Amino acid sequence: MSATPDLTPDAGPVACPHPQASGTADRTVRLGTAVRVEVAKLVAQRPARALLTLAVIGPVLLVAALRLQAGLPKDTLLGRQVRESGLAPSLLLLGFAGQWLLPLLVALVGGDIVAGEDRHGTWPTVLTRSCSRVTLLWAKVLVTAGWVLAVVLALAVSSLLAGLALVGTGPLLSLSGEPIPPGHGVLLVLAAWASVLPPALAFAALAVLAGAVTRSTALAVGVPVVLALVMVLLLLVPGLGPARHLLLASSFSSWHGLLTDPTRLWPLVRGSLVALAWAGVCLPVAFTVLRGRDEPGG
Amino acid sequence: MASRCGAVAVGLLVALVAGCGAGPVGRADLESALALTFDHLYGVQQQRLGRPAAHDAGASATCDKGGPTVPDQGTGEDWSCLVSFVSVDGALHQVTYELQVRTDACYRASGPPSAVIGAPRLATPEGDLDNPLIEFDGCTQVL
Repeated sequence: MSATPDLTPDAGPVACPHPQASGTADRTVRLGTAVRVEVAKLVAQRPARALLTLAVIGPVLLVAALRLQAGLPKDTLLGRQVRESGLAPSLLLLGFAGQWLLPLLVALVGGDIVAGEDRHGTWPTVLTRSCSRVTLLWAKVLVTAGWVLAVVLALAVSSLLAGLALVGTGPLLSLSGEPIPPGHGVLLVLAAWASVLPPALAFAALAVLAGAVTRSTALAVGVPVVLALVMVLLLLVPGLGPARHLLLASSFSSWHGLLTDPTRLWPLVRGSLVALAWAGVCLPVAFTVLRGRDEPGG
Repeated sequence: MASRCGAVAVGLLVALVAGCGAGPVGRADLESALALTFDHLYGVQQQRLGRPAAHDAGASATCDKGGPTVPDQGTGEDWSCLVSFVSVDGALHQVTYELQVRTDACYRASGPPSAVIGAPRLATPEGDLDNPLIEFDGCTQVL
């Protein structure tokens, strides 16, 4: 499949309306067109397709491996339950996902979506073909957010189904020792996965910023992943106090509150606010950097 | 203007998180979480053994960190908690758990296999199952 966007005739104008044309409707059409182009570009990339496939197959292999191996991953929260409850493997994966897996999966696309144009030297092309710089950047941000949703959904559904199919529907013991019936447990696991969306989106914003600043895909992917690992290490420092909650790595574990008795929802709110703040700082800076660039044709 | 609003918003958030943020895990936090978790897990153990689960063990816990000279709060592997509970036959029992408390306000409790809480594996009607009271993870409310 070529990287040429495949636009159906009724999907709106291929070329945007005149950039100077104002009006919300025009802007929406232009953004819609730009999003479709960016989606087509992402879907055309073999690494992106491979990563999404991995996000579907990987959890199945993980659950199968946990099922077959002799020992239990007791060092991880809920790890001792991976052969008793089909819900536990999904939450075990969720624990790892927040440490480095999600930042990596998110940064691989979020970092390349901006820096890739530098890598291929295609800024002049996209900026002449597309609309204003801001519209194009919004399209890239929206497509990255869609990628984050797709990856989290793939990991969540795949690990949950694999767990229920290979381990069974035994009750999960909560973080207060209470047996959670499978029906309610499935909802809790899905809610737990949903709770990692805000920090994952914040890491995507970090990757977009890193791509805008460094113009290098390798750095745009590497910087968020290294930052994620540094944050995980910082969380281990006892002297950090409440400041630890300002780290995105802490937002990734806010789902623990869903599994205690009584349920603690404040960590989820706090984690989402913190993630929003990270994205709220990263994205405007990324936009400023990219708008300030001197690109031919822009 | 927009950037100033953003800076104010981030500042407010920092203050909110720092102000409403959970402090270090204290003795009372750990004691209430451990007692409740023990209650639940005792019920699970009894159920696995095929006994009626509708028994309230009424567990209570007394915790200490690192002996009398160490303040009883914060993370570490030197927490020790004495859990008192009433077994199904009505007798009062006590068992000591060693606790590792982590920075994420969750903990791992390990108890000695004994006549009180049983062996690491339980011989149950459905075959050998893990004894949930020997080693378990839990979280306090200081999340």
